[in-house]
Amino acid sequence: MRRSGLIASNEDSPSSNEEIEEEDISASDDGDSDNQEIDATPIQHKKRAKSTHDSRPSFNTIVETSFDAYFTYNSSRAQTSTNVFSKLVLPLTPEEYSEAIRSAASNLKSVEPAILADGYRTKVFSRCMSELKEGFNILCYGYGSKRDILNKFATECCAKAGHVVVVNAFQPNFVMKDLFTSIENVPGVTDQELTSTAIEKQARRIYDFFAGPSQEHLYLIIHNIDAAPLRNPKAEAHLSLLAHNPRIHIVASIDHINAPLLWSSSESSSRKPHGPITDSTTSRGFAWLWHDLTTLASYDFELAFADRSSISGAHGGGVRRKNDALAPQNATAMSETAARHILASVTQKAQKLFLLLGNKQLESIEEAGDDGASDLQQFAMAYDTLFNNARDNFIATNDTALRSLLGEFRDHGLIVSAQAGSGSGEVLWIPLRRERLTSVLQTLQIDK
Amino acid sequence: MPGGDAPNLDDISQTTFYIPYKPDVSKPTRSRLPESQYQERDFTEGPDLRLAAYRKAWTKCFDRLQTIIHNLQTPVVAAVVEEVHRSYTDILPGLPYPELPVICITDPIFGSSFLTELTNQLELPEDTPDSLFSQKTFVTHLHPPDCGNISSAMKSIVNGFVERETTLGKVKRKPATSLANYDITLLSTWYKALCEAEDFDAESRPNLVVFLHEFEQFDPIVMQDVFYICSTRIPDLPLVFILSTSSPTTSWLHTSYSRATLARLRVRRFALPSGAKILEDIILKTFFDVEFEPDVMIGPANIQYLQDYFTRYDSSLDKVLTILQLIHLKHFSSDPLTVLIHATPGVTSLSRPTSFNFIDSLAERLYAPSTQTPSETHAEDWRSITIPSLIKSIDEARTSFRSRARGIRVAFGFINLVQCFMVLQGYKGLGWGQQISLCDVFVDILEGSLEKDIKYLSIMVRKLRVEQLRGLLEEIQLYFTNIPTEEEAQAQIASLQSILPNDDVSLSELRGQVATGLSDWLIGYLNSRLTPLEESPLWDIWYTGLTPFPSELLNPSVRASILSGLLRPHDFAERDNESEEEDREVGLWELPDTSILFKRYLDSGKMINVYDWFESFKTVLETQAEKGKSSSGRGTPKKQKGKGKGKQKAVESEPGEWEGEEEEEEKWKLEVQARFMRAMQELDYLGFLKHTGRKADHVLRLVFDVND
Repeated sequence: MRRSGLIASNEDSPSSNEEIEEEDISASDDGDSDNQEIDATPIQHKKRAKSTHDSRPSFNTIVETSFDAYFTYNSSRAQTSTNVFSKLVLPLTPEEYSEAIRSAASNLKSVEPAILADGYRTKVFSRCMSELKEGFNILCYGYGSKRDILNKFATECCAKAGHVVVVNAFQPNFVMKDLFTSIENVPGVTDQELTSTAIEKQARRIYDFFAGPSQEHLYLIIHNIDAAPLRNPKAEAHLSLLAHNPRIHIVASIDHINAPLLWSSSESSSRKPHGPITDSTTSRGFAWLWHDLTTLASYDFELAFADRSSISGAHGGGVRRKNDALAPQNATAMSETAARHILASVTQKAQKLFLLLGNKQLESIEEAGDDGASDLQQFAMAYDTLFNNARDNFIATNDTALRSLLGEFRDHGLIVSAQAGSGSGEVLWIPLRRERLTSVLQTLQIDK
Repeated sequence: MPGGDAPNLDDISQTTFYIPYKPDVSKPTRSRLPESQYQERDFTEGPDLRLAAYRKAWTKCFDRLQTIIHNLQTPVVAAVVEEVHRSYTDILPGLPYPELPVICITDPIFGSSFLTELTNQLELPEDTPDSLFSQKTFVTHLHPPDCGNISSAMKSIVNGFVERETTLGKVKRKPATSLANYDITLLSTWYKALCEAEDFDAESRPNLVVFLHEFEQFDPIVMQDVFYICSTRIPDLPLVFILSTSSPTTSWLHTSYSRATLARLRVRRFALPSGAKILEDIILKTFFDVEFEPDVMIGPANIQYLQDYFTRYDSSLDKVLTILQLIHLKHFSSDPLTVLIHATPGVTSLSRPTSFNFIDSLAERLYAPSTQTPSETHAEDWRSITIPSLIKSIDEARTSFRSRARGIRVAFGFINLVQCFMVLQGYKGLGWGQQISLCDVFVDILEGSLEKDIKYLSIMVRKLRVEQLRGLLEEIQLYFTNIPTEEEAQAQIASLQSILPNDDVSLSELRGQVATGLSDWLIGYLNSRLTPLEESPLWDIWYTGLTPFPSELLNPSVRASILSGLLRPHDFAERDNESEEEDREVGLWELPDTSILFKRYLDSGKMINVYDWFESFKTVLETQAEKGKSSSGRGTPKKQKGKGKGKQKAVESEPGEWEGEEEEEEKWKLEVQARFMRAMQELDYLGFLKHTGRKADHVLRLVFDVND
């Protein structure tokens, strides 16, 4: 079962004989590296064997399109194994994660795209600058984090031509108001009267300031304009108002594959007004020019707030992601340092209790002889057993005392409990994997 | 902080950063064109002069376009303005209740330019002489996000008027004592006060115009209440609604609003001209009009692109303007020679040593032997080049190109005239503008493939009767009298006219003579005029030819780009040793983590079990580690085949060994897991995954593009 792999990948690619035109998915590409050799894994061998058996020449123009694939997959029943990732693999703590990524990064050589080379970059920058001057806004797409290169653009080019505001819209705690407050740092903006603190008025005041007699320009660098806080129609309306101002220039990046759906065609094509700007703005729009800025860089900064212990940690945005980030540490992902901090602040009795529970848990793990990569609940201790043990060791003489000792740990998630299925009442365990638990217990014993 | 004011952009605790304006004192930033590919051929002042040339050429073209657009939309603007002013004057008597005047504008093409024009016309200052109406109007604009619910919609309408600067001054509201800011009574009161203050009578009182942009996006449930509330206040509060819609179907209002709402409205419809005709008109009047000389002539590739884009993707004028502007921008930024478009720089600036590259490239273009006619004397030519002579030849080239381009425009007008005449006479014309789109005709003309049409016309001319010939000759003469450069043609036509008999019945020989004469002249004339522009020396300064339009600027393939970034990252990389690397296939294990995971994603079915995905990812990483170890001998984490069973093996081995190996393995395991998490969350971030509650720890596949 452990090596089951992706079962569905064994399926033969269907419908090769259907007469469908080739879909050009490599439009922005040289397309010279078709049919890449896939390296040895058992599954892939099988697949390749099948396709060679098909004796389908690689230059065949009749190829399955994404539509065919969609319908083929949807017509068949999804066959997957019953393995459950979160049960079989223990989530990583932030420390483990960053440590592992750091050690991995030193071994890996990343692909450096040509666009980041100095000579090419200046060309791109000069082109973007002149397009911004001509009244367009720029939208960068393509795979890879575009934060670094756009920040470079901001500091190297835009700062010399006008005020710059850089916006990290991908951060879960970003709100539209931050953007306006930041723009108000431009000297002179706050001199104008603000009738109310409503965000509309703020946007209008900024628009009026840059449309007015001051000859200053504003460059807005928006990282991930497709991020959740900017997706709602209100935020978009404010942005499109600013984007329509001839002296406000927007350079934004998108990463989501469906991000272009955010704007209607009239919004994305509406040109900035030319000539004298009248007070009443009748139209809004972005006047986007699109640039492919594939950097292949990793999204580590963008995903800094993602919960690395959960498979849906980077999914969605807005409210859900924010709550995730603010919620107390995931119960199963207790880190060693956190455990030490909690232990340092509890009474001696409580520490003793923890030692007791921890040692018992270690014992049962070692008895099982498992590698620890599975559910910890199976090593849990029944409440009654714990109580008896605690009484024998003079840690707690009655139920109330034990519960009050446990309370502190439970509040911080250092000890978790659940109702055992077989009617044996409550069970308790420490959500730390074996090696971590060992080291915590060791330090606790040394301290004593 | 470095420099005191440069913020640390990597600070994760902040969401926005402000970088103050810091003009570079030593090197003031001027606006420039994008760097040319052939920058080295340029001279010192080149970029600035080219920018000026670009501005001049584009402004000229843009002004022309504006005039054309203005002419197209003016009739509708005038009609709408009139309708607004008349809204409350001739009301049909005897209605059970007053109807709210609503003007519904269907405008699929003009977009912002029309709306701006309309607003300007509606809000004309009183003393403007060209305003037809003495009455003022107040306009407020509403966009879909303003009207999420009824109170915010009413608030936007009321505030839109009440907060205007009028003689009443600023309205100060005390929350405790005044009406709520979404109450329409507030608007009524304000309006009453305004009328009293300004002494408006029933005739001259201003109408209140509410402009709803992108009306299709408004929520009908909210808007029907707004319409109801507003209709209770008329005619005391002379509200007029203008709905701007872009759907070509005029029945939007009828399909989305109930009969009860519609009964309260008096809907007037206005439609702006639309369809491919508009684009044809614009190109015709900008690039093929005898009266207008564009600085840059666009080539067939660009015309085709415009036509394609307009008919297939987005028929908005804004896009057409943008495309034309980008064509200009690209033209001027690609070749330094385009600086010569309007005038040649003086001898002094060209004889500086910094200009030598420029002169060289120019001389090469002008005097290099062409492949067709090898000239024996070209070596001598080369030696005799001086800068003044060079300037002279450039000026000559410019004149020759201009006259050639003019010839094409005149010839086009001429053919069109003859073919229209044929159609009017009841013959089958060339089908221009009907079966054949004018854009295709433009392309044919520029490519010089009109022989068939010319031949057809000449045959048709031969068959004309005397009175028809007379009519045609008159029209031709009229056409050429307006063009001073075509004296020869005028003389020719005049001589033909003199031969033509006045008597319709007699002298069929003379008719034949005139008809043949005209037909022969027509062929000769047109063939001499319709020569490809590419044959002119230095043509690419004034003509974009077959240069394609950079379509990915406006119509990008975002999806394809992301997919190829994931599938073939090495294609984006710099190729140092191109010849070697070119054909080498990149193994799966050589790809970045996210790409490996993505390949596995493409191999899977519609649902992916995260654990299995993880396992298959792990196998690739193990291959990677092995390959890395064998190629560099680097100490990658200790790993052996059959990872899953490593534990059992380890248990059997010595305890000491066990410890170290175990630790190493544990570390490797964590690393794989971390890399998997990172790669998966990146894919999630890019929108490839959908989490599902249907099966534990499964994700749904969202992209089905084929991996090849």
